[in-house]
Amino acid sequence: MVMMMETQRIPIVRLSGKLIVSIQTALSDTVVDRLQQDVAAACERGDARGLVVDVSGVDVLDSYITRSLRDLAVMARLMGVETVVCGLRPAVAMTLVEMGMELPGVRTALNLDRALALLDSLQPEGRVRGKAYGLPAELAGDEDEEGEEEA
Amino acid sequence: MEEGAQGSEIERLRAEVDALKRQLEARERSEATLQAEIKLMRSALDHLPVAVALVDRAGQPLLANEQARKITSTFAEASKGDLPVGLGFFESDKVTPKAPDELPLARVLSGDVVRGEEMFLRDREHPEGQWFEIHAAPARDESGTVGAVTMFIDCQARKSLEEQVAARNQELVASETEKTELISRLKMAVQELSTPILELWEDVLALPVIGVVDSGRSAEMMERLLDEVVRSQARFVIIDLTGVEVIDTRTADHFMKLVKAVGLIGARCVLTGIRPAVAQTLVDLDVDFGSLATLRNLKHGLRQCQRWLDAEDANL
Amino acid sequence: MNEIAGEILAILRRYLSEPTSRSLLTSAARRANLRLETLTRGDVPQLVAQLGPGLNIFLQEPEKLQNCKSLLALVAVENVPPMPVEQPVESRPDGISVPIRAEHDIVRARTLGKDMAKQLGFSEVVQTKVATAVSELARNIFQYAGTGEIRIRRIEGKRRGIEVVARDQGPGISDPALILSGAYRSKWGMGAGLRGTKRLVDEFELDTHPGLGTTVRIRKYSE
Repeated sequence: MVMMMETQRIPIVRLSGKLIVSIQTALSDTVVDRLQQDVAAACERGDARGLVVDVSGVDVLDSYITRSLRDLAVMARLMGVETVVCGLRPAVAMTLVEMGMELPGVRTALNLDRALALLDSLQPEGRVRGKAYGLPAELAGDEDEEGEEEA
Repeated sequence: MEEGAQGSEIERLRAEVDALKRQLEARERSEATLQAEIKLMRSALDHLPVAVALVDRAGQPLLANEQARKITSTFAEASKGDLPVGLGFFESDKVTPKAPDELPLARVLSGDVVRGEEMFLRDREHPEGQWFEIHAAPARDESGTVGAVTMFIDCQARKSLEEQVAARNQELVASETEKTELISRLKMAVQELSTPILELWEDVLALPVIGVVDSGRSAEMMERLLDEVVRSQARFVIIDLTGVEVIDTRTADHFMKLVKAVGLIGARCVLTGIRPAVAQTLVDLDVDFGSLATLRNLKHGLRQCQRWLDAEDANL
Repeated sequence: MNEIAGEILAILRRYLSEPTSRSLLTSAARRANLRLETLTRGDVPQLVAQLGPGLNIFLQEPEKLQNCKSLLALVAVENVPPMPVEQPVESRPDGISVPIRAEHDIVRARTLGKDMAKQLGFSEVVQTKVATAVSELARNIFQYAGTGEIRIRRIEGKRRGIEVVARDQGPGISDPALILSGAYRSKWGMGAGLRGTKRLVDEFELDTHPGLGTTVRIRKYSE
């Protein structure tokens, strides 16, 4: 079932029980604030089994927007909805890393398909089957998930 | 008494004639001297290697030396605007004719003095044109400015040399630019060939790092690697440091940035082949190895990636 | 013709006229039994070999001939980016000035900054760095001073570059050195923005006094 919400803001699409946010326009503060509100509302319904934030259309990420995106992911997770950020452009990734900014606690994937597959591998009860890729340091010691194997 | 009176009259007349003869001779001598002087001056003028002329207000020559005689016809015609197209005085582009009020005679007549200005002149004797250094000043008498005294010095040789030097300079600059461009492209190719990104397996890329990595190279490497990850949709990047004996903190920092950047775009890094000296530097840097897998060598790295991939496939 | 053949043509056109370049290329392709629509990088050495004789005739100067052949050979190497066909836009001395009054001016300023960096021929990564730096500075103005201006201009001279001056009449920073040193580690505030900006640019100047406003001047040169 696909349902579009709020055409004036960044739309949140539902696909197989997962929420997909695809950012194609320039991210201003108000847009991001709105998005946070909308995502919170969508998570609150209780039937979302994951959230994908697709930033393939974003060409500039400054510290504020980066923090906002991270807050969004963390907030969703607190509400029981795992989040994956996908499609970050190389130029933007390099700039973030150069600035010393990171997305701690946020999983990443190369594209939408992979993001959805990653969410599938994270079961509702929080158990990881197989390995979770892009697993950030903070979550490595999480009780609900299997640790990773290092040879 | 008559004979005596006639005699003294004749004497007197003889003396007068003698005096007149002497005067005439003196005059003739002085005339000859004058002529000789004039001839000498003319000869000197004619032997001058520059053109010297005295012209009237209409540009007609009142006095001109050998060199000037070839040019002054143009002078007069130019002043009248009578010259056929292509002859006369031109601006430094050699094509635009000089405005009438900028011609040497016109300027002198308006009270100016022309001191050593370069002009390009084409006349019947020199249709291909020539550069002259022109000096001109008013010629005056009691009635006012009657014309101009002018001097034209041939500076063609110097101008030719200047033009050649300018052309040569331009060539050198162009060739320099070309060389610089070629060098930078060669550098890129060298970097490409020395740090190749290999596609080892489906979804697994390997970056064998060999030798010294400077900051310029590492920035370029990062960019290339990230673009390649996106292009090939790889899930893993094995960075093999077997070929790196020692690493400084700056380079280590770059590698850590590389690992973080790969993580941000959604792939995962595996480090292999860390030598003891490199390990020490990384430890000293207090690098956080939290989620970063490190393995002994490329083979082990690939094997581990394959295991991960298989596990993933099993779950889907 | 495909992209790779296009690269070869672009190189030839730097030295020869358009009709000559095209005819040399097509006849070389014919002799090498290659099709310009499906040319691969692996085919390039053969094609260049066939171009040789033609080039020898038309390019008399040995240095130019050598350079042209070298550039052609490079087309065979993977991942060396193609020659730019257009020259970058001529520099003009003036720049642009964006007043920062509302939140959407942040986006406006950074978009203009990115465009100018693009016009100057900067790479994608450097464009992003410039745009991000502008965004940080504009945001600081908006969040801490309320109003101000961002001035962006091209730098003339030996090194091409871009300069951004962010000026405001806000409260100023009482201890800029402390903020910049990172000792006062607020991860996301104004200090972090300034520290991050500093790492993205080649030159960074901070001029600030409490009560007298703040001016930040940054420069990024083409790498």
